[in-house]
Amino acid sequence: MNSSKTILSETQAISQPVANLPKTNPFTLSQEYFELFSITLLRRIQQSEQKALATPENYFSTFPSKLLEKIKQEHTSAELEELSPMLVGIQKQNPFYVPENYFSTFNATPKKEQAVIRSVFSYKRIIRYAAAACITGLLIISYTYNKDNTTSSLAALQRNSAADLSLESIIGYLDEVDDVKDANESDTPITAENNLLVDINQETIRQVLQEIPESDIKQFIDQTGSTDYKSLN
Amino acid sequence: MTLQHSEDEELVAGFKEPKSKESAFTSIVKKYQERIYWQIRRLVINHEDANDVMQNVFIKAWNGLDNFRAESQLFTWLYRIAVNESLSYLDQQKKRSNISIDDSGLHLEEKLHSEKDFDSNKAVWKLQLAIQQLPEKQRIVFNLRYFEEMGYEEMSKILETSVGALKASYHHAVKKIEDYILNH
Repeated sequence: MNSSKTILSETQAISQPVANLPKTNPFTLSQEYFELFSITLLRRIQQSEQKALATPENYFSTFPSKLLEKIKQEHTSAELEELSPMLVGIQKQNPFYVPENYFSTFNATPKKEQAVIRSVFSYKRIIRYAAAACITGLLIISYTYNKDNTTSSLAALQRNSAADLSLESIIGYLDEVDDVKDANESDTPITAENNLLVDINQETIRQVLQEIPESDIKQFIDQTGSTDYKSLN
Repeated sequence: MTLQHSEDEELVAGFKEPKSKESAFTSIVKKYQERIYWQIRRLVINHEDANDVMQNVFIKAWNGLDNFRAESQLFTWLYRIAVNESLSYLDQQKKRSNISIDDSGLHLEEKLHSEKDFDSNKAVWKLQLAIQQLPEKQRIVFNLRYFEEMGYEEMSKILETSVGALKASYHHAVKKIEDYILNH
């Protein structure tokens, strides 16, 4: 500190009126202020340090769940923002009503009811399966048996049907068969061994035709309109 | 090394020990509180404001004493904090009250008028009114030199300004005060 004299003489050199002003402190202050200041100050420092280090109640126990919730919220809101920005603006309030104290009085214990016991192995079921197996067996046997008969039945049917066929249809059919036969002959030569034809000579045919009654031949001519019946003899 | 300097070093060392931290700090506060308070009070005028700044100053000291190096003197360091805190406090007040730099003197003058026992006819109050008309830097220099009787070298460390500039500031300040007193 400079001495008061030095400062006074410096001030006097600059301004005599200012140097002559009284240096009395005009401001007032209670006597206790400085006595209590250090105590008040330390209390404030301690409080601020406690505040700075204090954590809210249950902070650490609830921290992981709160953190996860926040992460989930951020993820879903970002996703929703991408999909529909309009929906993000709508508040997520639950509009549904739940009776008062529902969750606090909710009893999770189920009512004591007689449970229905169902056996895994049921005799009724076994009988049902056995009956089904028997029926299936019978159906298979009957199908196998009928399969052979079906062929003969078809032949019979064909026979019956042949009676209904017209003569022209039969001749047409035989011509077609002949054509097929001719075609086959061109491929493989027919020998006495590999054909089923009966060797009938002219004499035999004439004898057979003579045995046919005249009435039948006339009927045949009427039906066919053929006049060359003599040539048949 | 002066006696005061070695005493301050002991107090700082005591503060750095957990056992004696609070007692050493209380000793530091008690040693410098009055000088710091009046320096602040002359700048902010109002006691409530001065008290707020005082608490901020010593809280900053509490937080910074662990890193305080003995190269500078403790009271110089505390004064610097006090000046900076006072000026920031006044700036905040000006911003809050929407006061321009030109009107800051008027704002402080109003504060003086609201002081207990204020009498503009009395020389002591007239001097205070004159000081509030000074620019910020000159006001600080004048208060430190005139009331605190602080040497320019020390002041230079606190305000980080050259001794020559400080001498010039004091000269201008005294002249302006003289002009104010003679004209009011």
